[in-house]
Amino acid sequence: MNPSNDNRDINLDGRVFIPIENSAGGVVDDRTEFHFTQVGEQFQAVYSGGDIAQGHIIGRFSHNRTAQLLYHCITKNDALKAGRAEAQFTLSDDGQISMALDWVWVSGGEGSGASKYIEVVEAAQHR
Amino acid sequence: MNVLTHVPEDYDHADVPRCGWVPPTDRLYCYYHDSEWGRPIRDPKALFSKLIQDGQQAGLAWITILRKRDNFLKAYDGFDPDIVAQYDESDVLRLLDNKGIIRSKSKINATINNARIYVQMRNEGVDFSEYLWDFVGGAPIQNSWAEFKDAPVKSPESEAMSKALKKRGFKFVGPVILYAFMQAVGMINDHSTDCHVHAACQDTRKV
Repeated sequence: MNPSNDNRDINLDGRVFIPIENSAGGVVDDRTEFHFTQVGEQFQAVYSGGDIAQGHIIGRFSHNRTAQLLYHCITKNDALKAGRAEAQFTLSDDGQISMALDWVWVSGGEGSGASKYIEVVEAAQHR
Repeated sequence: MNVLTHVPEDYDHADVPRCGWVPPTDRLYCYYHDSEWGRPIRDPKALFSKLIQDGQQAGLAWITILRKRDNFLKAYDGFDPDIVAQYDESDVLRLLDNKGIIRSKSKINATINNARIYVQMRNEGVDFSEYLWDFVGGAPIQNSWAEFKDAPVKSPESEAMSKALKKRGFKFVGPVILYAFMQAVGMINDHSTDCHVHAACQDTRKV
């Protein structure tokens, strides 16, 4: 980890995302909220809502706007699932971050897909 | 220019009521809030500088920019639009190589682009300060939020400013960024009513 590297132009710390698109076979939907924290190149998120009882992400940036991540969750049907994904981040002209995932299940599910998420903008981030 | 880059040694960030977004133990953040945020700025170049700083924040936390602000001001010649407008490819490479700033090519190019538009507007006889302040009728909008979280993230005024600046070709000027800019430069007084600076920012004088 390199905690002093804050030269990248995206930082997920304190940001909240919601899904706006997901492939069939995915389990999150627009009722699921993802709350991120980040230190250096590494980040985590907890997520819940919709069909998800609890979920967790760990990941790290590999390039400025690309990251690799692992995720696991317990659904409200008590199913344990886990997967990995590559994330691509984009930044709007208004500072809003979007995240696109190419994901694949590695346990508890089969197949792969793509999903997109958008940041929920909160006043405190923009003081 | 109303840009404060160092916290004076005698600054006392004692525990006084402040807006909820200010971490009370962060001296730099407290000083920025107490002495700069929400204080009306009328100087056109100072407004340009703040506009660029808010654009640099896109995707990041404001404290990241605040902590690097000295580096930014040195690297970008104080965000003086007359100087930045003359930057060429060698300046872009110099900035991309500067570890003290945000090394984003899109933000560097946007800063140079925006400086050139600022100069063009002035050459057309447009006073950048009057132009921006007109979006709030020339005087600060006075809000009375009990808590900072009650404040919106954008407003009809920031939407209108965004539309107008984008039409002129400015980059990183969405309505959320511009609402934060308008708060910071005192066009909108969004200090919470219990904040010790709220009353001091009730500047209703017109330009």
